[in-house]
Amino acid sequence: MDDLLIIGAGWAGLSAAAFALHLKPKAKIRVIAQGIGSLVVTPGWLSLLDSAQGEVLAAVRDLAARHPDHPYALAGAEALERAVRLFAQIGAEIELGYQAEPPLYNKRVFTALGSLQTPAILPYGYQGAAQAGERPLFVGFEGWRDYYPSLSGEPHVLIAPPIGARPWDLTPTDYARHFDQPPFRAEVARQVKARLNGATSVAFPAVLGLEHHAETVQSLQDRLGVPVFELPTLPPSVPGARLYNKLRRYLLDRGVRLQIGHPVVRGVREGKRLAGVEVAAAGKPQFFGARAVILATGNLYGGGLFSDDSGRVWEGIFDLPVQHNSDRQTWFSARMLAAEGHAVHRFGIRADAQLKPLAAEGAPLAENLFAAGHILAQPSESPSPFETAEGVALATAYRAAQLALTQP
Amino acid sequence: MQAETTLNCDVLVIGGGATGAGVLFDLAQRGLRVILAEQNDVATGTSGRYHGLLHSGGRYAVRDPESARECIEENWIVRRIAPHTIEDTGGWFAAFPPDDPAYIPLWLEGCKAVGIPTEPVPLAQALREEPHLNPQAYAIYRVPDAACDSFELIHSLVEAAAALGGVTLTYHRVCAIEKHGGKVIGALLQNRRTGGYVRVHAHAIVNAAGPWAGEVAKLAGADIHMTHDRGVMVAMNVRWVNTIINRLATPDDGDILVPVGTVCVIGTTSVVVERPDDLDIPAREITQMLDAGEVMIPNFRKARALRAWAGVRPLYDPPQKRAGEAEGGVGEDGRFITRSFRALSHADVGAAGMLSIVGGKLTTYRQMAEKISDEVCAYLGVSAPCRTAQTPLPKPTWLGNGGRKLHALTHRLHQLEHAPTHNNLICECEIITRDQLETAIRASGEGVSLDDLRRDLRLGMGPCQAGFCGYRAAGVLGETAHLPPADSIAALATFIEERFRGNRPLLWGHQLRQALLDELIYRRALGVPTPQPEAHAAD
Amino acid sequence: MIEPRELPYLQETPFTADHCLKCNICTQACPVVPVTDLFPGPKTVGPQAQRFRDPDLPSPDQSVDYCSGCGICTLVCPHGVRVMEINTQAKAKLAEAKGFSLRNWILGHNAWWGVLGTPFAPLLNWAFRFKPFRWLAEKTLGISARAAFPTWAGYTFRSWWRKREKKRAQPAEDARPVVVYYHGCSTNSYEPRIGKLAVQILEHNGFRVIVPPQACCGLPLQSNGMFAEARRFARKNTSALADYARRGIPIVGTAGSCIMALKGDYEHILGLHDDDTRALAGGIYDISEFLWGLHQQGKLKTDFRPVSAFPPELRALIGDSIVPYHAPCQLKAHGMGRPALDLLDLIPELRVVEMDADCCGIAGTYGYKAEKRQIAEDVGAPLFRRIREIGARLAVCDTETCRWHIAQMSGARVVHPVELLASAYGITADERAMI
Repeated sequence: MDDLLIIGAGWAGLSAAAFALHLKPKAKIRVIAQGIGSLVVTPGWLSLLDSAQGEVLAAVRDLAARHPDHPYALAGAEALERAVRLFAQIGAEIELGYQAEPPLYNKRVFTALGSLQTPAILPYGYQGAAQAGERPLFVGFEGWRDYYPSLSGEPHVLIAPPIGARPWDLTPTDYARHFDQPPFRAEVARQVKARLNGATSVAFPAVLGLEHHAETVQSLQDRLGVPVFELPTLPPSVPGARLYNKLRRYLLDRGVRLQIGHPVVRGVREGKRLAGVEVAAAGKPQFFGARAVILATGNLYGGGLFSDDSGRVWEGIFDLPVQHNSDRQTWFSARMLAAEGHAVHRFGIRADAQLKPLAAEGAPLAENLFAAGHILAQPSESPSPFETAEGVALATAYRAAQLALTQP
Repeated sequence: MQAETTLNCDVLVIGGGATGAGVLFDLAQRGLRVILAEQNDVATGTSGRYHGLLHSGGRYAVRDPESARECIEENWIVRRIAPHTIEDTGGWFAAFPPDDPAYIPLWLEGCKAVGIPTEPVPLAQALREEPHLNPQAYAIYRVPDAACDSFELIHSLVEAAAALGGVTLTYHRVCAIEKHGGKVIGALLQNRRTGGYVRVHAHAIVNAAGPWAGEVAKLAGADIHMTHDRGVMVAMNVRWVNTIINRLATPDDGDILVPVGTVCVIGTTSVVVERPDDLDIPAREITQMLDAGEVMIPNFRKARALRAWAGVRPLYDPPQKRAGEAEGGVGEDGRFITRSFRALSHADVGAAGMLSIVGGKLTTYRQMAEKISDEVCAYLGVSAPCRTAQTPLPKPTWLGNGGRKLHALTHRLHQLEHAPTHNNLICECEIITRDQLETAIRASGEGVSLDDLRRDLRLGMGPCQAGFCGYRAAGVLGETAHLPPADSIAALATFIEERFRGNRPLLWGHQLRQALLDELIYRRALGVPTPQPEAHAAD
Repeated sequence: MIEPRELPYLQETPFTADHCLKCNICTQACPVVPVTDLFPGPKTVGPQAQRFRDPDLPSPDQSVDYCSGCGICTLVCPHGVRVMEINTQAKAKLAEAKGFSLRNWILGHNAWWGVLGTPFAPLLNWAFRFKPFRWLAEKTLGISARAAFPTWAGYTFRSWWRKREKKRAQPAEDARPVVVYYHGCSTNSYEPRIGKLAVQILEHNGFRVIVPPQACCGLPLQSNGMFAEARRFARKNTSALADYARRGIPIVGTAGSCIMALKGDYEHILGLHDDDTRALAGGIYDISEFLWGLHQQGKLKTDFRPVSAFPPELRALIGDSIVPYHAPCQLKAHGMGRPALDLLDLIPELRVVEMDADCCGIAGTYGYKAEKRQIAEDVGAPLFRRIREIGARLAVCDTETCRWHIAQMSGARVVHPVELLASAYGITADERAMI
């Protein structure tokens, strides 16, 4: 029997595992997920509250006070700060950055379209955007389908990195693996340097190394003599993949069992507690017993929630009630890019102040089941869940791990 | 209002659907100088919004024999003159438990009467051929239905006409019809992309504007009683069948299933609406389609619904009905109105030389074109006979050999594997390369939108609905057409919204997950700005 | 050819392509993509190409042949697309269209060579170490001269078993619960030692082991596109073993990939959906899975001695190092967690750590093909490097070709988990002896 079983390997699930290790280093922890989670499709930075103008943690506390149903409020005032500090500590250990010394202020990062995003905590690659200066140079790679620096509206050049004769399209990850090689970096730097033309900084798509990211950014900056920063790409996201890979090794080295591939399909009850869960494995279901379970399977995108054409929305493992609109026509606004977002983002399960998911009658489903991340419903009128994406995942993961590890 | 350009011709054709393109070719072949004006791109109205079925006529055999006869006659002709647009899937009429067995003898008799060949298919054989078919089917007959690519057909017609001097003006809307001395003498067109005007002098005008025929006739002072009958179709991401399946029952919602390339399309509903551009897709009608699909194919709705669209059937609904015809009131089922067509003269309102063609079906486009062209020729005193039934149409060439052919499923894979360079697959779902995209951008000229490219290439029509290829295509468009960045980004935002419009009614299950991933890309990775609302171009 | 459907398409592998969101997580995780230009990635040849494949025609995209079949794509897909299974089916059609390949036929029929070669073990073992012979085999057949071949034991597990059964007096009343041992071809001909240890471990835990007739799992045939023949083997196994499963008699094996073939591939790749296949899939266990299951029920004997009491040779290999454990791809596909790791954690003084490398590269017979050999070596490079960095001289892995490959490439000795469990139980088996 494990001390803690986490369902889901996205931001919430993996950070819950990492936090649990810190909270109780001897704990037996198992993560079970159907596939790799949200890390590899998100930009790899931490959005805590993108619209916050002043100190971000204070703004989040304020948000939690205004919306007592918000996952930030359920996680409690201290959770986010502790979570991001711990995350930053791990980030330093795995050499990806993610500094988070309060007071925290939102940073400015660029996108490939030249727009600005304002997350709070950044891995190395995005940090240079703060020193972009007057004249950032957007660098693209000739013949690469995934990045068009001309759309940025900034000065731009296309260089021809030495990628050999691969006959298929390169993914961002392929470029990142090339950047792991020092000679490749040197050649890229040589070509860019020749065309700097007074640039105050250089922007690359977010492919600056997979295994050796910090080293790649540093060596490019050294060679170019100006700050270098990354722009998020189409998925798969290299900053996300870096984090996933490093966290995976971090967890495996510390004895965490990481089972990616087969979904948990149901919980096994024993009175008021969960005895464990059942996985749809090859041949027959497999049972995994645990003292506590964290449900971090995500929202309708992440795979924790399901929907059908009749307007039904359901949670896939424990059949928890899901807060949602039953009229399917109201799920989405009329336009994809509508400023107000879509109602569907906020659908989720409800939980009590201990992050225990609530069953239909309003009481916790089980004493030792906790929820973390975007499977939790978000109140309407609160900021868009995109703005708080990683913050909600981390804060609830921290709190859930903390509560789960106190289980008898 | 000052016209910037003046053009002269014998006949101006209004409407770039199958009928308009058919008239353009027919008259050009008879030696006339013809101009076709289309307010959007060709094949964007009803002709581009159908399920892809070349009718055998079986569907109308019982209640609308006139239409059934037209269908079967034309079916044979279209197969002969435009085989490249046809995937000869064959079709079945199959009766399932809810269907009334009493309909079967009536239907067989009806088919016989108009010459539609039918052949019974034993269930065991049917299930071997179509293993997903509901095994409870109790009667199945084979008929000569086929899948027909209307985009390809219309492009063939436009190109064939162009070779004979026929001119096609896309994105030109008719603002006014000019009359003099009881006759029409021309029209004023506005170029919707540049805003400039074009004056066309013509001796005759053919109104083939489909659901907009009433609006166009009004410009000439005529009043045509049109009924706009909206039908919703849904493309499923699984090619459930390789044969067209029709319900062997009185025509009803969702009783036609057509395999098209990688998908299959179920259609349609029939709801009378007020406006020709009422293309709303209520969730209720989608559910109706899926329910109907389940009757033919158990588990039908488990496949991803990829795309929903509505087409408005331009039904002619004259005040004086023939026997058996029903009134088409708004909100009602328009199925009781004949699918046959009529040619109407507007000499009575001082617009001699203007003819409207209304009603009909894509299957019968050629016959409609022939009939109206005969009348135009009679009016102009031209005696050249119609030869369209004997003239094979060329394959469209403008995108290079084979660029658009989608019928052979493995074709695109083959192309990709054997291309000189494999690089630059822009649309991964539909397998469209940067080369193809650039060629299409250059061929389309100034002002081309990503949605135009979609119609040419199927860009963004696969499961991801432009989530990945939208940005790439905007980048290629910007680089190829040398657009300012803001214009490329605006093109992207517009394209995203156009894709979303057809996708939104289908957002549940996996397609909903897809939309959320797409949104994540647009909002977080790219930060695409929210576009200002604007009038939608045609789908 | 795919056999006539016995289940609705929806439950079949090709249909899962419908779930693909194009996120390319699979391409990102594919271990073959980074090391070769010949493979465009699992999504490209999988769900993307699948939309354009005509069920009645061979797919024109030859690049799918470079899929190693490791199945990591299927595991990492968050949306339930059976990417590897789609690719394996496409590869089979491709192989069918290409026609007969002597090399693939030879590799596919590993089952025969093991048994047929046994009497000639000394000669064959010499020949396979003889470089000119291997060079010739590469030039004429396309079988890599660099690949690690196993050595014939000179006797088979089955012959050992028969002899042992004959020698032993059968008690009139044997109330012990029964398990069936599924040995697989490799244990039978090359590594009977593993079978001998497995049998003794099971007996030590109070079971009566039986070894009924059984066939090759068919996986080498399946990976080489010979589906019809693979199905014949599958049918032999399902008809020989399904009844045991139905009677509640566990079938336990030591070959992780073979067991996975019986558990999942028969249905999802070979398209067998009959009751026998299902019963067998539900009743067969990897040995670690089985033993860990016993432990969870409190029924496993845990009289494990510490590493310091292991035989000196093994103790020396372990030294002060942690012991790297590589969970083979095929084993991850079981979805049963890491029972070997869980069991080894019970052995005092043993520190086993799971490696984060996805695949060792060999992928069954893939790395034995001359044109794919370099890929197989490069795919595993991060794993080999990590083992060397750790300084480990002993590593653990559950499947045979992976063990041979990792041993050859990393220099470490690589053992099946039963080797360590047996040592901890104080069980021995002579490497070469029939007894």
